[in-house]
Amino acid sequence: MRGHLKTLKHLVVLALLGSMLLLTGCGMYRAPVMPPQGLFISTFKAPLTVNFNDTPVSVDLIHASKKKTHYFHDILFTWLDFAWGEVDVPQIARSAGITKVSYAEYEILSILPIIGLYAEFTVHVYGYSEGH
Amino acid sequence: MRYVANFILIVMLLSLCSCWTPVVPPAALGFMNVEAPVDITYNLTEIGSKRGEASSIGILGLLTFGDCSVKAAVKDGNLKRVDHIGYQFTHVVCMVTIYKTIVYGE
Repeated sequence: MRGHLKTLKHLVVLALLGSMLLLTGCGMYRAPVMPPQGLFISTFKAPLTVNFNDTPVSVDLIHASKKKTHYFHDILFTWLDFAWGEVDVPQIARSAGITKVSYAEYEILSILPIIGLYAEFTVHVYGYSEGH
Repeated sequence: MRYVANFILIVMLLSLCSCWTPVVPPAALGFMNVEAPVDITYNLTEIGSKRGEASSIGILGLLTFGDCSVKAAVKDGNLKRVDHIGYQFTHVVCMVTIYKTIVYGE
């Protein structure tokens, strides 16, 4: 009986640790569409905009993706992690001369996501310039 | 039992470092300063050049105060129309958290 209680206690602790990782840092991200990630490396693009009611998506749309956020986990010295950057859609759009935003996607590059070593999050904005 | 209780407390405290928005870039526990969109539906939205901001501050996960509403951000930027809403989230080891609502418009 004591053995079962000890196992149960360990399972509860593991579940809490898992939920802690899900709720907080360690390189976890959130987006409307999240494809399955790999344990060693993940790099893919996925939608940010999920409501496409009559949205133009033609090939002559201007594409802008100058900004990204970075995540880095210092596993050698401090064991702390840091995240910085801006993926502000209006600024990304303005940098490429886009005045009307059609839709947006994101791109994730995650190295060793199993321990949350390094990640980049880029937002891709598509739209038209003034006068279109 | 005390072991489990301590972990529950740590999870609760650390969960206060997160913010719940549709888009959260990879998040950190040590230091974080990121800006990301809240509004992800565009459909040829023309985004105005004016910007307004409004913040709320949290201290040690015990005290949270401020006004990060759209109304406060609109007042800050003196906007008549809102085209897009984003946010900026900053924290230092989860001790001090600042959530800033950012609105763009004319």
